[in-house]
Amino acid sequence: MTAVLALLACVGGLAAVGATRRHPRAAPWTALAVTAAVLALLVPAVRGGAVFDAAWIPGWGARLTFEADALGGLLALLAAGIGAVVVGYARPYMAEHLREHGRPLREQVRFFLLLVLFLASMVGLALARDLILLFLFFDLSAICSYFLIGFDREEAEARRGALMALLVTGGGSLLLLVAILVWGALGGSYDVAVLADVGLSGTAHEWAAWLAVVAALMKSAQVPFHIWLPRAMVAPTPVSAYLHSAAMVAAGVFLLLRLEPLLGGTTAMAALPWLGLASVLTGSVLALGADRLKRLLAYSTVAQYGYIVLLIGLGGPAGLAGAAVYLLAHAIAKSALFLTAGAVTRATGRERLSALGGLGRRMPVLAAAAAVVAATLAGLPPTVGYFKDEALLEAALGRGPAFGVLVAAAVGLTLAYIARFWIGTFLGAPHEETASGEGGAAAAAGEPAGASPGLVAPVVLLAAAAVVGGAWPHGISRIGSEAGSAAARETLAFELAYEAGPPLYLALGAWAFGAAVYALRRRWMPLVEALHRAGSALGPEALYEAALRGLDRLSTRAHRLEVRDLRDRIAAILLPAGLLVAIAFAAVAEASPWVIGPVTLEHLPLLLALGVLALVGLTVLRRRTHLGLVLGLTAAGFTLAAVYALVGAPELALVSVLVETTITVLLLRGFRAVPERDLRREAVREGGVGVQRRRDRLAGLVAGGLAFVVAWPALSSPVEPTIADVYREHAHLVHAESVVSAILADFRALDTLGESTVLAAALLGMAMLLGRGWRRSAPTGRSGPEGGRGPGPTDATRVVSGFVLAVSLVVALALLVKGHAATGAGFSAGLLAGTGIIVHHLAHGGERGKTLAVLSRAMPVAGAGLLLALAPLLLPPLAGLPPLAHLPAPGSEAPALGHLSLHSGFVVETGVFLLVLGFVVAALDLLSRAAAWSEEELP
Amino acid sequence: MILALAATVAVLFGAGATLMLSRDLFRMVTGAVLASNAVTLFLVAAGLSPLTAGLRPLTGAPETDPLVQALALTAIVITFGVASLLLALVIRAYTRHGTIDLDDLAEAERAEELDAGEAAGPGTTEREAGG
Amino acid sequence: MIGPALPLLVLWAGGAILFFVDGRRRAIGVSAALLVAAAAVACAALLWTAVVDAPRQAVTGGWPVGVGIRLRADALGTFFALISLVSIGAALAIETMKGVASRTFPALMLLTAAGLVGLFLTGDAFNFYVFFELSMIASFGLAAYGEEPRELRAGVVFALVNLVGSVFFLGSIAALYRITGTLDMGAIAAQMGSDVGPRTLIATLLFVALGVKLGLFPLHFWLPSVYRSTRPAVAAVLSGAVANIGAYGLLRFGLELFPDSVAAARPLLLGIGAATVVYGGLLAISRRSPSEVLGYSAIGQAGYVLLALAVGGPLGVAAAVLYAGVNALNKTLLFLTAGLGGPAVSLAFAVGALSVVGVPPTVGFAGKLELFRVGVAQESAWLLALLVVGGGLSFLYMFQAYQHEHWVPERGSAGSRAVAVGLVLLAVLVGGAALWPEPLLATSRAAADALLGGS
Repeated sequence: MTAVLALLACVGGLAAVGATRRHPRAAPWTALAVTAAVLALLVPAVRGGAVFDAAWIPGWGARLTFEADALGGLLALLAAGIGAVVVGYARPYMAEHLREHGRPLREQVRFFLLLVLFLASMVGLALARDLILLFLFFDLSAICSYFLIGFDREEAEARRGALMALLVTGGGSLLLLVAILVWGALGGSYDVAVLADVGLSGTAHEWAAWLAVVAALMKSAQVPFHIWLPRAMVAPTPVSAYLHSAAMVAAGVFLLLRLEPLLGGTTAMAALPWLGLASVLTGSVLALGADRLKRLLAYSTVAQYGYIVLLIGLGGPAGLAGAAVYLLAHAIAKSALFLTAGAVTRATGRERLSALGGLGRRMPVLAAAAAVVAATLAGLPPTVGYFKDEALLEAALGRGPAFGVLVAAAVGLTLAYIARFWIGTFLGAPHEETASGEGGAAAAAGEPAGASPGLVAPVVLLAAAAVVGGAWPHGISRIGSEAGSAAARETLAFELAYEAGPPLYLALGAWAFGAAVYALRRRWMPLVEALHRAGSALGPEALYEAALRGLDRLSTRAHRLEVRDLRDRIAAILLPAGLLVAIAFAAVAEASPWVIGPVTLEHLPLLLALGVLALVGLTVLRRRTHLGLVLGLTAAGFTLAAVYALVGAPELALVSVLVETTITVLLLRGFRAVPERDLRREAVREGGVGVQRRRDRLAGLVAGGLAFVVAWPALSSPVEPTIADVYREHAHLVHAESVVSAILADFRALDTLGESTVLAAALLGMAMLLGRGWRRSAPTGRSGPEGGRGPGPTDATRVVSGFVLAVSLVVALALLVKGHAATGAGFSAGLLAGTGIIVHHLAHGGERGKTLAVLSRAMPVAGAGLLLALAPLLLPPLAGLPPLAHLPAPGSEAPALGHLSLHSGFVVETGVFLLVLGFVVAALDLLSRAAAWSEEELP
Repeated sequence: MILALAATVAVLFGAGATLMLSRDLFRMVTGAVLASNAVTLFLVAAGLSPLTAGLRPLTGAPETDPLVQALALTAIVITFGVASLLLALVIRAYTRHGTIDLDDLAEAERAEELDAGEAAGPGTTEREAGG
Repeated sequence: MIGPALPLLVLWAGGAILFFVDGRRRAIGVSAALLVAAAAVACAALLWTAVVDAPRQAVTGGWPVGVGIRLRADALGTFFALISLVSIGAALAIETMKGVASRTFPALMLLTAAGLVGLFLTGDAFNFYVFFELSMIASFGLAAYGEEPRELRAGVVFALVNLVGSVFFLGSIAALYRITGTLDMGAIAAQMGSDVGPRTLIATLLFVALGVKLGLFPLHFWLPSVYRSTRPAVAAVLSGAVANIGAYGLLRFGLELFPDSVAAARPLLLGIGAATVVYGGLLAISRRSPSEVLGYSAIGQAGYVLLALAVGGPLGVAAAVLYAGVNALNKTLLFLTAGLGGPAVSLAFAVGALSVVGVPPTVGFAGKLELFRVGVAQESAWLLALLVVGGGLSFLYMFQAYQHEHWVPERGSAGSRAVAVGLVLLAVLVGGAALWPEPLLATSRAAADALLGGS
């Protein structure tokens, strides 16, 4: 159907405008063509009123349902029609605007792109019948307006205005989303038509109605959310004209109309007239006192949409049809008025009423056209504006005569402020003094600054439309009643005409009142100004500012606290962890087993070892010097190894001893990078801080307690049997006598490979930290043993170290070869060989040149080891076998080299051996080099 | 026996944690190793059947749970890798800022950051919202 | 058909081979990115199979389950693997185009990826720990990446804090083995006896370990300064890929092994989630450096994941899965723009910001809508209010940061055309995903089924 084609035309239009990136002059023309095309496609679509429906997101139950009914059609046509006028106006305007701001013309491509996107979002919103779809366009329009309001982003005012608009309207959309989802859950569909038939009721429905209403009021800039709209006038004038008439602000009241069948009968709907009236009065009074043209118009928009909200709230034929008519008439009038203001400011460089006047002579055409549209806003015949007030007063009278008079008084205020606008601009004595700002140059040059025709023509066009509408009551009535019927989803009869009746009498009274108000303006102006001041001191705008400031301050304070006391503290993790475990403990302490376990004489050695271990662990805390610290750690490690030996885990014991030794060597090596004085100073400081120390002890206690509370009940609830038995049964299949080796090299080789890769990654990380390109870039300008820290090696050490190296290499080889069968494995062997090389290296004073070649090749050796170890993982899949398949096949005879049986597990072990060997040597080498350059670099 | 194991694990972990809380980067690394050792001990303890746990010297008596031994070996290797990398981090921090004290390090970096901030010029901290 | 191990093997082999070569060469970076892309394609294929057919699984060495290690490519694991690979691949590609500064960078990225994919696909608790450590160690290394590492303090704290997390994690696995006698997750779930005591305590310890990774309040203190101090590509990977460990782990362990504990602790979890959302959002407001804003934002968004998880049920779990993925993509895109300028970068940042706040049709909208649906289904007014407040805060901090970074005098440029194109492509992916979010929804639902069906 063609309505969807119109939407697609918008999307295509985006691409077309985007394509003008290199020819920015073509951008406005392209945009104009797009809006014209959209308009052309929309007209038949609205006539047809067809429905387009397609599957979209079954997971949410959302569908691509579009319907070009009279209501949606009205908004879509308005958006496209006014859009076309605005684009036409923007063509000369933006070029000048960018030139004045010293920005390149190509930026206008972005502007027109956003304008077309804005149009697309409004057309989509107008046509969408699915609420999720509708929400999409609703949000999209907020985003478009954000970027357009902030178009002059180098100006702080523009940035603040844009952010405020986004916060209010974007935040409001969240409420709408909730409402939509609630309705979807209640009614089982997101289709407005379906939901309208379901007949929703209940508390949830009431809540949803309120949320949707608030969202709509935020969008339509109604009190107290109106504050964003005056701020939004910092946007370039075409944007303001569009935003205030057919886009953005109109979306809010359109939403109310669209949702009318759902909202009808709710308390939110019942409150609408009063909410609308509040905006009417606030907006009108503020507009009466405003001095800047655009600000006056912005406040007027608040008031005018207040009338529409009022009308929707009153409901009935007059209310709903009247709302549609009001939307139409106001869109024409307000866009034209903004364009007028822009043309005036462009020509004179002034934007304040107090600095303007007497322009009627210089720009008679503009003045005349502006008079027509001002009359339209004020509801004077024979413009289309008359009908909007006729409908309004008729609907108000439906509420009762008193209400009618109240509304009529408000209508009078419209006349008063718009008279101020027009008379103040075009009549009276011209102001001669030169103003600065936009167009100031032209005024200063003394040229007879008339308004440029390109800027006047659109206003004339809109004024003509207003007059045509005024001459065509039947057509306007039909538009209104059809749109109203579409909103209510039932047929409403409504007729407008120039005829005598209560609405006309009220209108006459209103105009008289308005004229009187205008005439007496000097009397009440101080009062309005006082109200203005009170409003800005205590009103919602002040609240908004205070809220943002308060949030920022709170945020800063919390952040300061975090940085000062928490950020670098491990305790900040341990204490919450302790708290959580304490909560869990409190909940399940009674349900947990707390078994002390058997204690017999046989356990005595183990108990003793554990006792020693605990003591050693505690004494580490008391070590002041770094050397003592490392020795304490080593002692703990060796005691741990003893414990492992006692519980029958000899392989663990062996590995523990080797690892502890290597860590000790690495740590000691690391210390050498730091001069003794720095180490000592740190040790002294560490001992000195009393409060901190006590706090650390406390956190440490918490950590220990936490570990205890989790460990004890877990250890108290063992199960039998475990899967260890399964491994014992399977071990013979993989050519291994030791179950542990079978697990490491075969069954759970994935763990082993992962662990090896951890080492490789650690090595890469160390190289990244300390490497400076780890191949062959030894520190320069250094010779001799280790910068003279400590005495050089003696001959005896050299000789002994040679022996040690030889022995360790032999033992390592033995471990590797025999390991897979019995105790030990590639890891132990690699550690041993690596440590042997290190010792040898250290004994020779750490001179790189003189040590073994393996030192400079350590990284490649490690890498080769990793690749070798990974081979059993990576290669079998190439042959169609599962990764880590044991080769030769489990249970079959493996080829042997003496006692050494060759199979995939052995490949893993050998790879690990090489990797660990390379790791240890390379790590030490890196640390040594770091020690060397720390000496060079630091004072 | 169970209680003794749990208590030892707790003491070791507590000690490691306490060391990690200090400001001295080397002590922190040491603490990390100690805490990791504690959890390895816990892993081994988790494989001890309460009935068979007892004196098993290095000679060929049946092993404790072989699976747990394998897991503990893996865990030890990982600890080893982590400790090495941590050490490299600490050394790098020293060669850059000349301190092994966490607070001094934070201080030095903050000073550096301030320099950078001033270089970026005023207005970088301007608030966007509010007026 | 492909085996579940394929993506893992590709990355692992690639990481091992790159060990030898100089990663600063452009060709190396490109091949690394291609390998990640290949692994991502394999993951996508596995995910597709898992969603429309049945998850594929295999046991290493062809052994029976319990002897070998089970790898399973169910919807949950492959979804997280895919998201993480997208993040890593994008970071690698962008960094390669900018110029890699350190020779070990591509290898470490691949090893991080291998670790992550391994832990997302493994069905074995201890094997999970090993891969977890692999990705952590690799990321410790990455945290120091750059010409001159900026904040080593943050790196040290990062490593130590996560080490505490790892120690807790290993302790939990050991305790699980003690009380169930097995390591395969399915078998653990089946063996979990009736004694509620040890189980609850273990679950708590696991929660802490994973909460540290994810950056849940109050375990998050280390996170913002790490994200701020690392290079953009690394921050993107840390928040877009490595942080997934936390979300995935909470979902996998929490719902597969400890459904009862999660149910019992629901009020507490909801409270922690709510506090995380508010705290992250609040602290992000006053931050000026975009990376720090993003760090706190990541914290806040993690809170949503916990909230949805705690609510539970098919809807809640699906929302948690989806939101975790969404957050990862958002943060990847946003961090990759850090330090760059120009129209393309500004556009990419804007799209990322819109996705964080959840404006349609960005992928963030899908995530936000799912969360709101959870709140509506729960008929929980306070949950909805929290979501609205959190959403409002995110509007404020994201666009404040956006304006501050890209509107106040435009500075910098994208550096190269390739970087700009890459960022825009990623932005299109993030920005347009909710035009047709059905695949994401189907995936998250299948993931929820995988989790809840098993228990």
